[in-house]
Order: sequence, then structure tokens, then C-alpha cells
Amino acid sequence: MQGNTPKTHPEKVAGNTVSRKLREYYDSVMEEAIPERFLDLLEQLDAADQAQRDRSHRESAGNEG
Amino acid sequence: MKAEPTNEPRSFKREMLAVLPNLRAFAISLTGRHDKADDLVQDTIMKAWAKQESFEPGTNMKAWLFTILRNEYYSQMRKRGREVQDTDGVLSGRLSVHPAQYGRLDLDDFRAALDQLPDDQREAIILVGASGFSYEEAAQMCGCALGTIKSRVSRARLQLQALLEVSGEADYGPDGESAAVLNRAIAS
Repeated sequence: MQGNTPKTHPEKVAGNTVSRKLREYYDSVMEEAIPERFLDLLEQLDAADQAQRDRSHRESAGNEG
Repeated sequence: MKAEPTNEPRSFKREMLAVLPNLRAFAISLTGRHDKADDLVQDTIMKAWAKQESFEPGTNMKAWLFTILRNEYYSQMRKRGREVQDTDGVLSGRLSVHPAQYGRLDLDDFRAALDQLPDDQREAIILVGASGFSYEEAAQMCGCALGTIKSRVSRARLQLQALLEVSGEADYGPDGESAAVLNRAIAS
């Protein structure tokens, strides 16, 4: 940041610095790889739902036949 | 009628996956700890999955997941008997020892400063200043008035300025000077 920017209000300059640092910090966290456990968890949840759907689908097909 | 090969839950999963990096960044920013944050994200995934019927397709999945996470965060804190800090909290109290895990000193300093904010102010400035929500969305997610969110964000900003000692001129003291700045900020 430039040392002196006389036309800008000091608190605005400071506010911009805080906003920039916040985004920098947040972006640095966002760039981290998503832990495998979350991907596994979603796969498991999805597979469980799929199995559930298959089961109820077979049951309703059985009722029709 | 032939049943569609239901791909709706798959797109639900895909949408969740797309939000995960942002959701996790929110959790880490909020809690200040990766282990706590990841537990919170896991709980959020489970909760969201269990009530996916209540999610209206086409609406904002990101806001929906963030809301589940922040509600979970506060309810876990209450269970642990820790009171949510009030918005008048002073610049003291919290531990400010942090592992240097960002490799950059200024980000570690920023993290330490963020940790000193009251929870509601920290949450507000993250949602609006980093996660990409509007003031209106943040107010809705936090269940409070628009003006409340705006004032939390500006107070958070001022506290961070004071803690990081960034200013265009002299340092602000935590009381007199920042109060004057706060008044101007609210008035503008």
C-alpha cells in the first residue's frame, strides 16, 4: 500500500486493507484440497440412497406383477 | 409411466461438492481450527443429506448449506456451555496462540485478529466480506435484521483495523478513536 494518499480518508484506506486481508486469508483456505473423508462420505450417502431406491423400486415392481 | 432414472440426488451431491471448498473455508474462518471445522463440515453434510427433501431445487444451495453449518456451530457451542459472545465484547480474552500454518506471517496475524472478534461479528464479516453473500442474504441466514448485520460488519472491520494497526495515519486506540470512526461509518 502506498504511504500517503492524501485525498482518501484514512479509515477507508484501512478498511480496504482489512477487506483485502480477509479475502486473502479466506482464499488461502479455499485453495486447500478437500479432505478425502468428505468425498468418501458423500459417496457412501449417495450409495445408500441408491440402494434404498433400488429396493423400493423392486418392491413396487413386485406388487404390480 | 416409466420411472426416470432418478438423477436428482446425484445433482444434489454434485451441487454439494461444488459448495464444499467455500463451506469449509467458512467453517475454518469461523472456528479458527481445522479439526473443529472439519467435524462441523461433516455434521453439516450429514444433516443436509438427511433433510435434502427440504431443499428446493433451484434455490441457493450455498446459502442453505452455510445456514445449516452456522446453526450447527452455535448449537454445539451452546451444548458445550459456552455462551455466544455479545457484540459489545472487548478486544481481549481469546487465546491468540496459533500454529503458523499459512506460511505467511501476515495471514497468521490476520487469523489471530479474527479470533478476537465476538462470534457474531466474525461471522458477519466473513459472510459478507469473503464468502460472497449480500447483506440481505447474510441477515436472512443469521436470522436478524439487515441493520444488525451491517452494524456487525462495520464493527468487525473497525476491530480488525485496530487489532492489525492498519490505518491511514496514527493508530486507533480501541476506545475513543475507533468509536468516532464507528460513528462516521454508521452515519455514512
